[in-house]
Amino acid sequence: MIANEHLIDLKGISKEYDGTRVLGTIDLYVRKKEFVTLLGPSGCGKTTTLRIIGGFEYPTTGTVYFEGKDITEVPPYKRRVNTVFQKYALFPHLNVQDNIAFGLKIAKIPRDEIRRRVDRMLELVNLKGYGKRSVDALSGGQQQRVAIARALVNEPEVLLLDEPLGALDLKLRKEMQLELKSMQKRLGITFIYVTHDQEEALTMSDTVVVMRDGHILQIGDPKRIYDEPVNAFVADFIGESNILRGTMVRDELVRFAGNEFPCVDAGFGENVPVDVVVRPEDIMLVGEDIGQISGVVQSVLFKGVHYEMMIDAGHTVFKVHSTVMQPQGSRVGLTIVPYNIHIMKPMDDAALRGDEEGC
Amino acid sequence: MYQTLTLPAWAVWAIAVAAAAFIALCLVSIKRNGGVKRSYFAMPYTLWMILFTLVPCVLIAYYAFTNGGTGAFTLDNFINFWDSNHTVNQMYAEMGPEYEVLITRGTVNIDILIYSLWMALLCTLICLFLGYPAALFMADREMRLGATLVVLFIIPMWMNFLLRTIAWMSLLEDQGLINSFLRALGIGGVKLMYNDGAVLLGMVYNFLPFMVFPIYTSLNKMDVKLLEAAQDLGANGPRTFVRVTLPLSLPGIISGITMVFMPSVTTFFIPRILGGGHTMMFGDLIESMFLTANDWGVGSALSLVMMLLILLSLGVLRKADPEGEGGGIA
Repeated sequence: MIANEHLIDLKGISKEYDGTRVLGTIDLYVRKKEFVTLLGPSGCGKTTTLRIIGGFEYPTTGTVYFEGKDITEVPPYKRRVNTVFQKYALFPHLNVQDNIAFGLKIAKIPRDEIRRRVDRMLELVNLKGYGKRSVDALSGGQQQRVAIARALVNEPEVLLLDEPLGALDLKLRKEMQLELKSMQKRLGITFIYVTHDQEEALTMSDTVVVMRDGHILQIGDPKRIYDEPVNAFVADFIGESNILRGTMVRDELVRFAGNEFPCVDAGFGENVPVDVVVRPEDIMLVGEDIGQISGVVQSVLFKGVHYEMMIDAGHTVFKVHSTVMQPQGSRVGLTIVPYNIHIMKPMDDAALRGDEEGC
Repeated sequence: MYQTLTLPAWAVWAIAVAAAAFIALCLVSIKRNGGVKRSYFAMPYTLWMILFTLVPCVLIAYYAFTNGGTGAFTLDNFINFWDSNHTVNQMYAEMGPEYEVLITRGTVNIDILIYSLWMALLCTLICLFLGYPAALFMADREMRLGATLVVLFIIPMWMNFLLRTIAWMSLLEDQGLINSFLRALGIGGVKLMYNDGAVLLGMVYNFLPFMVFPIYTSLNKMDVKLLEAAQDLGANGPRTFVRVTLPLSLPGIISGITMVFMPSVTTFFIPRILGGGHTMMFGDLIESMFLTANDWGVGSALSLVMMLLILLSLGVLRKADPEGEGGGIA
């Protein structure tokens, strides 16, 4: 990656509040027109990272570069970055169009142009004709659109979004995800998006940054993060999975759940303890005697598209997703193809605190 | 030594009958509906309001529009208030040496009214300019002194305002604390009391909390995220203040202005204590009409004029803050 392609560079950033470290030393870059999502459970430091980029927090150590220039100490109002806040933070004393025009008025843009740009924005976020409404009279989804319009109208280089869809219901959230993504594509603006919703992260992003306890665990495109999680935490956080303790017998052979399974991983050594991750949809249910292992169906849950079955295989209980239901109490065989078995170094917290996963 | 509170027998009976009626009403309601209607709880207060607020207002109106001797309808009381050469003014010029000053200065009722409005305006403005920054400071979540300051503002309010005003005397008078200190420094005595400045000081001192708290409340209620949003959109500190903080604290400001201006216009006692009778405000004038001149007619007329002014300004302020968000009486 050549350096001048980076729009934002975080180098050695950490943050402490009253001596408590909330953000470990992280390094991260964001390229132009990229959709980057910071993903992690609450308290993982994703919002702090976003606030450092926005200029609302100064890092305890480290430097923030914007197009190669050090902007660590630059106040928010001088940054070419705009934010969509978690609860929108719309100005209650201004109507919709004045909220959107706020940044332009501060920038002393001529009135005609303000009107033109605000109208265009209202159209973009499907709020044409809502200009004179009070923001309190809008629904959550509409307020959310105003917040996006208020930020985008300033034509920022980067748009920061702090869990912008958190307050919306599921259907609206799905719609807005697609809308945001297409908006980002159309306008060619860099988005940095914070969420704890893994599905949202996978749907929208070009790059997902998985964080935990103030550290970056993995950076990669959604498919890579989903298919090749670096450790059991990422695997568990990104979608449902069966996480098992196992032993690498030798290259391409792993032992777990009381049986040996061929796999595609190598280089761990012989008879080394490992974590094994198998996605519930990757376990095939077959006849009792032709499976690699067999088990009894403990429970069946209808989940809409698929059934979720818990299958007791003696040593281990597997979570299995399948569109075909097996009745409770029946014996089934389980088969896992080699490339669906993900082997990773066992996770211990000391390893997680290291910075080797940073990029 | 204290006096036992003695009520005339009829008053005791009236209270007893009213209380018994209220209890009976509640009991009947419990029997019939299984509970007391919520609206019944407002009855004692409503009765109190009728007896001690509504009835006096009607009496004031009655006295203002009738002749004290004959009880016939007349507008004389208002005319007397307007007419600066009227005997009322003469009369109270004769009441004592302190009022002679007023007459020699040509001070008449209408002048006193204008003077009161002027002083109230000054007091309100000073309170606003002192109080707003104080409220800002108190509402700043990063300043740990804020909470302490709130307490410091509240503590003096636990004391009666007459006592606090008298306390100022001992500070300001010729042999007072400040002058003693100045003399010790060799600066010599400064005349601090018995002038407009001292009266204004007393008023500002007494009414400042009524400005600070509504503003503090409205600032405290404000979402800090809004300030960040303004900064995010390019507004620096001063611009954020003008475009976000100030407009959002407007309900508090309006409520503060109301709560300071109203009692300021009607101030009495403070001018007498700290102004030494050299200045007289409308409140003092009304008081002297009733207690010294014994002219209830003109006193009531003055009171009515006062009430009208207050209602007017309430109306104006309500226009500016239609939702009453400031939480004040406006």
